[in-house]
Amino acid sequence: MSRVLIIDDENDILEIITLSLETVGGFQVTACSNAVDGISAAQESEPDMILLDVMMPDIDGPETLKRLKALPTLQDTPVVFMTARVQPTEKEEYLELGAVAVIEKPFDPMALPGMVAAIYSQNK
Amino acid sequence: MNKNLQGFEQKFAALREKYARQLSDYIDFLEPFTVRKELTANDRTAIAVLAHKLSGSGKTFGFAKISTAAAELETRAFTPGAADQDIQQAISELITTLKNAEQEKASAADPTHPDAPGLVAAAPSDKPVFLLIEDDPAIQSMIKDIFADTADIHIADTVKDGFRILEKYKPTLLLLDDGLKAGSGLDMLETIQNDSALNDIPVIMITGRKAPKDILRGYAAGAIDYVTKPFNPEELFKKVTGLVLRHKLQILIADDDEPVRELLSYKFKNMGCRILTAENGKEAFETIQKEKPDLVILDRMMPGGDGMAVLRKILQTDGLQDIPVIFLTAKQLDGDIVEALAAGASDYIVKPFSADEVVMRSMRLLNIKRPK
Repeated sequence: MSRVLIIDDENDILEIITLSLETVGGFQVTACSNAVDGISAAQESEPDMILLDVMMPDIDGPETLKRLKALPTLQDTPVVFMTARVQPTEKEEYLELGAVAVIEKPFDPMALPGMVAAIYSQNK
Repeated sequence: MNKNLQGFEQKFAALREKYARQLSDYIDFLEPFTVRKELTANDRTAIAVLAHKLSGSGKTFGFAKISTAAAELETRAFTPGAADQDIQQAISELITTLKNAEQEKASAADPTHPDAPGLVAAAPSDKPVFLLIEDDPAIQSMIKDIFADTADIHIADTVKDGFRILEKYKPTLLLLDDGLKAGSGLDMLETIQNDSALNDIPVIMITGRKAPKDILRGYAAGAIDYVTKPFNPEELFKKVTGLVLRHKLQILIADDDEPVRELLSYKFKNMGCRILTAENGKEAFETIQKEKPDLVILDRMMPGGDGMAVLRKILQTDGLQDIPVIFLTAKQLDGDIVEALAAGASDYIVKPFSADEVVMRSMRLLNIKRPK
């Protein structure tokens, strides 16, 4: 596990996840600020794992996930949702859509790489 | 890992600062809602969306109170039938929290601010980080002026605060007064030298005492230079900038002979360089691959692959070919010298050598002037 794709519309969040995963975790990170760029980056680089924000303008997280799962090369790539204040029912809904886990925001940038690595090892 | 985390802290501080700077935009966005007579459904959605965003990010950037206040606002804005007043009150509370977070950043950056802690935090940037431990305000402000454009300076006026900053920021350079009222600078220097996590930080002592025995104790404890008060600002500037430049240099000394490694390490450390050592050819090449030093000093005859073999491997490996290599050898055979130079060595020094000559030739290869 080394390459992670992040899709989130907030630039400061993209920056801090990149810093956290690259510097603390030693991962290779690609960051995209919208679903369209994210999906094409995923097709191009076939990452080991995708971190996906739920609330994004235009195409939101759940819709992005559906589109990713529809692509043959990406249907087995583990996708993790990231969101703030997630309700238990929402979490179930996301897992039913095919996400392997939900990471809750706000996250601790020092702890995030460990969470990501643990989720990956449970789902490969 | 340690080196990486050091980078993390500085970059994290920069991102946190950037995040704090954006808060005024959110305050501007939220303030008008506090005075509206009525909040429309669209208003509520806009407020809830921003609150959701802030609740999900504040704590990540070290502002936990923003997350808490924003979560409360989000709940109220999403609650059907919630009174406008209740939402407006939660908005006001979030605004106060945002303003406090802004203030917190401002006070940490401004040393004259009454809320500033007992130590002065420098704004994060790509500049080298200096720590000055000095309790004389006149010297503090003088040194701050001298390096205002070249470095981020943290100032502590006691040994205790000095250690706190030292461990947190791992500065590029420590300027340490040996006549502090609270704690002894010389004792601190000795403690630092015995701590493997800190002892590669170069230390310049500042002293009001001119007695050779005091100065010798400082050198013995590991100071790389001394500045005597009253000092000439220009001279201090030159001394320090040269040292910082050389401190970026990492030099590998590969020799199976321990006294040789020690002597050269000592000489290069006194120049401010960072040192790596290896005892045999295998270890040398592994270190070169891993650390990509700026210069390699390589003993010709070592167990575990001789120097020539290491040189050939360096030249065959992408990304390593440009590292200058100086050969060191006891052999005084012209053939060897020619062979090594032909193979791609940058220079060749025959043992017994003068350590100063090795240092000078290295600096010349790296195109760096030797300090006066």
